[in-house]
Amino acid sequence: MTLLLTIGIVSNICLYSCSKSTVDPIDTFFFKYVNMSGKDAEIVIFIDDIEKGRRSILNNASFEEIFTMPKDDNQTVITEGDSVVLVFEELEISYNLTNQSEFNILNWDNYSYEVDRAKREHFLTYTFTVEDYTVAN
Amino acid sequence: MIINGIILKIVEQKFGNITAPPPILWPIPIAIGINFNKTVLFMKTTKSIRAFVAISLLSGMLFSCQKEDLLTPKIEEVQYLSESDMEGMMKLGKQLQNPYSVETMRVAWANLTAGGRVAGEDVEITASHLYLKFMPQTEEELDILKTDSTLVMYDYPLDYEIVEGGDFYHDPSLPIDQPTYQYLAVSVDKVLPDGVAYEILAELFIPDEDLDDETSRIAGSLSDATIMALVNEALRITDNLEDEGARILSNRWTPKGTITVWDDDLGDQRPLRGAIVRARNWFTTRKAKTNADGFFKASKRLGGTAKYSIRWERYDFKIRDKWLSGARLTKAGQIKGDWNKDIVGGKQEYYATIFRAAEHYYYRDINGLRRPPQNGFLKTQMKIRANLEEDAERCSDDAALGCHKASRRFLGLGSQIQMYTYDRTTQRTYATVMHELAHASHWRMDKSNYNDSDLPVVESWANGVEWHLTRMTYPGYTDTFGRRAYTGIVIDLIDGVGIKSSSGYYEGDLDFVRSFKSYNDQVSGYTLRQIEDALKGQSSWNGWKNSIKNKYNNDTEEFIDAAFDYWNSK
Repeated sequence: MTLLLTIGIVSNICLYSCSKSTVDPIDTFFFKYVNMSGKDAEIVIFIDDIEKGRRSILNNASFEEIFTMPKDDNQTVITEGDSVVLVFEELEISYNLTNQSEFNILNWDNYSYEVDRAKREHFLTYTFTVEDYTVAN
Repeated sequence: MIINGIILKIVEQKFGNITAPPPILWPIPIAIGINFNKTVLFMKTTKSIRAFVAISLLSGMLFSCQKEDLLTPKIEEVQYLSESDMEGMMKLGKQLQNPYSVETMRVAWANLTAGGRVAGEDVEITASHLYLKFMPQTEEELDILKTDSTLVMYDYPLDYEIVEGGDFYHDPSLPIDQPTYQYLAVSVDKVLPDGVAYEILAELFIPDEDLDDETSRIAGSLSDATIMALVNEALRITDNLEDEGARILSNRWTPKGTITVWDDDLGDQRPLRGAIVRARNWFTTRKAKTNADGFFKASKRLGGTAKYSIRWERYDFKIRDKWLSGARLTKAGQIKGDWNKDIVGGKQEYYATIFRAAEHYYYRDINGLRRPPQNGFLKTQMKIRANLEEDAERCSDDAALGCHKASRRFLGLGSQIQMYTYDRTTQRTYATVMHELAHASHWRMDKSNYNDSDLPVVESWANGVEWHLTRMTYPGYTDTFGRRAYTGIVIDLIDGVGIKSSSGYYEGDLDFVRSFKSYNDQVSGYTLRQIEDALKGQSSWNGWKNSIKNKYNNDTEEFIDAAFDYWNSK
C-alpha cells in the first residue's frame, strides 16, 4: 500500500510541482535623438517601402521616444523601420537593416547605451554630428 | 518545506472525521485506481498514518523543487479581505423577504382563496425548487460544481438587496484563499454533485418559472391568470410588489440586448462574442450567449424585472479578479427590457478584452491548432487572473506582462495564467492572452517535454501563436523579437522571405543584451499546425528544428538551419 501511494503521489506531484514557469518581462527602451549636425533634420521611417512616420528635429534640439518589448502600441519608432531616410535640409541619405555604416540609426549598436538591469530600462542616445551630415553630402 | 505543514495540518484537521480525501491527494486514485467513496481507505490504521506522513514529507521535498510554485499561500496565516481589497466589490443591502418560499406561497394562496379571487381551482403548494448555498472549502470543490454546467450559480445571496453591482463578490467572513459561497435555485429532483457541502436556505415554490412551457407546469392546472395573481399576492405580502410592480401576463418579456466593448487599437466598439448573459428575477434565471454581433436573446420569457449580469467565464476558462473571486459585470438596478451595454474603460474593459482573446483561442477558428487545457471530469477550469500592473510581483521581481505556471493548476491555489496588462492597449492585452494560452496549450500537448524545454523553444512557440492568432483579429499586428528567447523563428517559417533583424538577445534571467544583427530569411510556407506537431516530443532547439525538417517536405527546407542558427545566436 505504502509503495503504491508513494508511486501515485510522486508521479503526479512531480508532473505539476516541477513544471516550468514562464514569465514574460517587459523591457523599456528610451531613445533620445540629439541634433548637433549644424543643420535641421528630418527622419522618415519606412517598413516594406511604406512610409510609417516622420520626425523633425531642429539643429541643437533633441527628442525622445519610448519603445517596449513586447511592443505596446501602433506607433512605429525609428528603429522599427526596415529603412530610413535622413534629410539634412537639402541633402538626404538612406539606410536599411543591412547597411554596416556606423551612422545607420537603425542599428542599435550605433547608439550610446546605458541600462538599469533592475528596472529593465535601457537608455539609448544617438547624436547627429557634422559627420552624419558629411556622409550624406 | 511549508507544504509539509499544509499536509500535516490537513491530516490533523481531517483525521478524526474524514469524509473525503484531502484535495492534495486527489491524484492518488488516478494513480492507483482506488474508489474514494470508501472513506476508510486512508486512516484505517496507525500504520497507514505513518505511511501517509512519510509520503507527505516526500511530497514536501518534491514541491520544494520550485520555490515560487504552490508554496506562496501561507495557510497558517488566515487572511480576510481588507478594506482596500473590497474596493469594487458588490455591496449588499438588507435581506429581503422571500416571496417564493413555500410558506409565503401558502399564505398567499390562502389569501386568494379567502378573498374569493380564485374559484374552482386548487393547487397543492409543495417545494418545486430548493434555494441552496454551496460552501466549497477549496478550489477543487468549486471545480466540482463547475463541471456541472446546468448549475446556475451566483456568488452572492439571491434574497438580498443589491446596493452596488461591483466587479466581484467574496463573502467578507471567509478567508481570502477560500472560495466564496455559491447560491442557486435548483429543482427538487436535481441530482447534486458529491463532495461539496451545502445548506438548504429555503424550499421554494416558483409557479411562474415555466409558464411558457405547456408540457411541464409547476403549478399544475392553475390558469396563467391565477398564477400571476398568486405571485403578485406573494410579492405584496413580502413588501416586494412596490419595487417590482404587479406582474401581468401580457407583460411577460424576453431578455435580450447587445454587448460591445471598446477597442483602443480599432478605435471603435467591438461586439463581445460568446459571453453568457444572465437575466435574473429572484430565483429564475434566463441565459443567452452573445453572437458575433454581440447580440443575445433568451429562449424563455420572464415575468418581473431582471438583474442582468455577465460572469467573465465559459465552461473551460474563468477570469478572476481578486483572490479566488470570479470577475463579472452586473448591471446597476433591475430593469424590464433590453440590456444594451457598451463597455468602455476600467476593469470591465480589461476583463472583456481578456475574455475576447480567451474565447477566441478556446472556441473559435485557430487554424487547426490544439486547444488549451479544458475543463471536465478530474480537470479544472483554466483560471486567468486579471491583475493590475503593480501586482506583477506575483510573477517575478521584474515588470511583466504575464506569466504561466502549470503548477498553479494542480491545487487550484493559484491561477495558471496571470495577466498584468491593465494599463496597456487592447491589442497588447489580447496578444498576451494568446501568448500565455499558447504556453498552456503546449503544456497540455506534451507535459514532460514542456517542462524540460529550452527557453527559446517555449517562448518562440508562444510568440508564434501570439503573432498568428492576434493577427486574425488585428491584421496589422506586429511585434519585435529578441534572439535566444523571444525569437521570430515561427514567423520566419511561415511568412515570406526577406531581411529580418533583431536588436539584441536574451541571456541569464532574461536579461536583454543589445547586439544588432540581421539575416536573410529564405524560409516560408510552413503552417502553424505543422510547427506545433513538430514540437511534440521535442524539448531542444535543434530537436525542434530537425523534427520540422524530418516531418515535412518544403522547398525552402535547406534554409531552415540558417534561420534557427540566427535566432539562437548572440
